[in-house]
Amino acid sequence: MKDWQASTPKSYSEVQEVILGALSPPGRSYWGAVILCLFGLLYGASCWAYQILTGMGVAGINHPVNWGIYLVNFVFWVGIAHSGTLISAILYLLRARWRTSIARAAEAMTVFAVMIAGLFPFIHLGRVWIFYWIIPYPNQRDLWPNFQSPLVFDFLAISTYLTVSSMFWYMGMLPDLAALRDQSTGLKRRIYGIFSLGWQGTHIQWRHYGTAYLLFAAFATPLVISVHSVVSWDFALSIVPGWHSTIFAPYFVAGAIHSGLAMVLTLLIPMRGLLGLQPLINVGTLESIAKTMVLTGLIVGYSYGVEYFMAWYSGNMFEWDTFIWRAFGHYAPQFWVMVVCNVAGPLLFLIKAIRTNLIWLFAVGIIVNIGMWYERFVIIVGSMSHEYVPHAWGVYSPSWVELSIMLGSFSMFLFLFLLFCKFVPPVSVFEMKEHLWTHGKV
Amino acid sequence: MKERLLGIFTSLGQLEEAIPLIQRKGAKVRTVYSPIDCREILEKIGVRKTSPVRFATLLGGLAGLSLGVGFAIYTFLEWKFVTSGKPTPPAVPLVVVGFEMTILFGFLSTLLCMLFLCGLPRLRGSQGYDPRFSKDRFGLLLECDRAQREEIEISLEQAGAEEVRVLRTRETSQ
Repeated sequence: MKDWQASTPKSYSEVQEVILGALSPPGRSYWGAVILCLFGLLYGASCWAYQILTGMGVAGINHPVNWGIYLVNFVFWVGIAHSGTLISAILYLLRARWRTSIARAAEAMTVFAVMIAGLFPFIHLGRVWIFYWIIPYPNQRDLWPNFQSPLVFDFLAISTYLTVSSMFWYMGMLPDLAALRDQSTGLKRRIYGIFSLGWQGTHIQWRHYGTAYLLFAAFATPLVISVHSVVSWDFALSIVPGWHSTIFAPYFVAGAIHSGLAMVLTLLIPMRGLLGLQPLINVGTLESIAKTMVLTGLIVGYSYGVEYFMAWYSGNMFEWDTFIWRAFGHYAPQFWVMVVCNVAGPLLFLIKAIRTNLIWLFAVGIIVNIGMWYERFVIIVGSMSHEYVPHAWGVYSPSWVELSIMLGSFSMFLFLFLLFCKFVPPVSVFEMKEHLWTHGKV
Repeated sequence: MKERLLGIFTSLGQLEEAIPLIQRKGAKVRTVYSPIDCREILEKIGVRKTSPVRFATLLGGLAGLSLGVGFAIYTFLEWKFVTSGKPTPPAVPLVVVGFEMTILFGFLSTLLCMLFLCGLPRLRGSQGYDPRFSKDRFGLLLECDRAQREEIEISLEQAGAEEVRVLRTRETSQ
């Protein structure tokens, strides 16, 4: 794939035309992809309905592995959600210029991934109609929430993250929705007018908006760290060998950012080509993501090593046996896929020719996504199937219902992302204009 | 008798140059329209860069912290869930609950305050707004005495205004 050597827009109107031009009426192939994803989503939803009607027996989870791929997918999607906030909030505070063209798409990815992640605990619950029992509120059944439980932490963290990330995304779009309103006519104008809330870009609005946006980023930054730390405590606060570890919080956060960046590459490379955004999302930006992935890949690799060291150094025979079993037991193929994909894969980006080649960038993005899914599988399933008592050991295989629901979740993610690409500006128009202004190009 | 004028500029630089020029002639800047967030403009028209939104953030964050920790302590005291001989209420889990609630309430209070101060949602457009202001043009809405109008118009054009409009005020329309 040869990168399109287009010139960068030189004026505000050019920036706007390139970005809003991406929202031109799509062709048949786009609608074909949307319909395909919608079918996948409906298929997954119907399998969930089947599970509700039939009972949890249709899923492969059973003693000793009671947390199957529903929770593997939960942790995977929460992880995917992380890099959106990293790119939009943390890099915003650090004034990293390369984030501007990709922040909007990464934030959208975050919102959709958190929405999907939030579904999996409900799918795993079985009796989803009484889901409100897990909401922390006093009630007449005396089912008072146990605030010492990481599951309550999780509920608070995920719901806060969903609220904050979706509002952060929406507020970031206000000036762009106003720009869309002003260049649209008819029904489109009315719809974008409603969603832009009547934004006019007055100095008063910019003054409060600028300060608030900075504060949003300041809130989102510790939140993103806390969310995956809390998810890791779902595991680390138990006494299961392989889970009960103090390294889990930073290990999960680094892994989450690693997987999220890989997903950004996976989505942005086709998106920029299909929407003609090459002048804005250039190879230099993708290269910056690749360089960051080398760092996160090394942190993940270090965490794998430290886990083994701590298991050996602690002298705890159960812990050490679990780790030996991970590498050479029933799930050894998944373990080695995890190590190779997550640690060795991103190291390819040390070679400039690879990290500036779109095919390689896309391929390594996919490889890391696969590796990170297997990491969650190895941690969750690998530890539960090999706990303390040998006669309680057992292996797990996901059933067709679980795999179908997983397929449905990926379809839903792509479906939402495809809609995003064509109905809201995929790149921040006003931030790109500010970029031109601050660099004296206009 | 006051008049309102709208100057439309093609660049931010021209707008920045026009502001002190018309201020010296006694005109008052009512609103600046811009497609980008430019803090230098605020300085030029004598508006503080920082926004009172910060206070809503602080209050919201403190309210969230109190609510989260208070609610957790209340439930611990109401239903003593003693685990592993830990004190009731245990301190460590309160940190997580308090932290998440601080973020949530701080964020939401910032959002609501920002919307309120920006006058959003706004159902009707304002008189001086031009759709080009969201694309590539800058607008300077100012107020001056009727006697000065022509002089100000000339100043705006000299500063590089692409277009100068006289807006109908309530007084002039009567």
